[in-house]
Amino acid sequence: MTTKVSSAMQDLTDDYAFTGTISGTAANTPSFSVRLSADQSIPNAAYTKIVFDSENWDTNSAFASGTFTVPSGQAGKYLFVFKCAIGLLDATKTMLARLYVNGAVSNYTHDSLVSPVANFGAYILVSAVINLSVGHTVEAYCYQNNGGALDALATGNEFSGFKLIGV
Amino acid sequence: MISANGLMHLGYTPEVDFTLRDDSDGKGVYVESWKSTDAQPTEEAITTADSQWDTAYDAQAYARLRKVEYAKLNQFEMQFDDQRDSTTTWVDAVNAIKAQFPKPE
Repeated sequence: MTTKVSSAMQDLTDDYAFTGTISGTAANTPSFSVRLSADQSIPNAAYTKIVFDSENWDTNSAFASGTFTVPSGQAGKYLFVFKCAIGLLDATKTMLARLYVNGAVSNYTHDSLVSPVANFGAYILVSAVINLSVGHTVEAYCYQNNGGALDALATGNEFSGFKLIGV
Repeated sequence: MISANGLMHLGYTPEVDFTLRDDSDGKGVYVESWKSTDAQPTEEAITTADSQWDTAYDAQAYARLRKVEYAKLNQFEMQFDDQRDSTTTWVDAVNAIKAQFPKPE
């Protein structure tokens, strides 16, 4: 039997100590957070997948080899956040970060910057809510056109995501 | 080896004429999309051009090193002071940098 709490039964301005157990609640999982264990070289002017290899957490073991794959029974809307940081850009050079969904990119998962000065420590934060089906994949890519290879920094790159509930 | 530098050495512009991609799967950089109206160069031609670009870039190492040192000089003030004081500090400083990073024969 379900009994609703109402102001006719209780004074809702009082304080009550809850001693029961909450069950059946939705959780924001699958959820993951990953980083780089070492710097990764990014060649000049090529969109390069960041192979995140150090997991802070990965609730459903859905992240492997730099790729998040929606597990069975977990289709839905996900929020992803990708922070990309690379070694020093020369003035006027460009850096881009983007998320590839099933190997393709859209303008909604993409951001860029142009270095305003020499020796610019550049980073970009990309966030996106994406509606995914089971088996869909999400990967993080970085681009720079400094002329030679630059490092994606272990100290600055992070990729995280989790399933939204109630939407 | 496909590289942006090789394609640029052949006269093409990134994101205008081509887009490159590396899936970090050990297979290296590949052409994700070719946008130029020209036919896409062969991998062999790109590799050769990349090597030529490397050679040209390395040949300019002395110039890049000199430029860093030149930027540390307040050259206009040195020239003014030299003219006023009949000294040669500016020429001496530039010559010292050229001697430190000589142009390859």
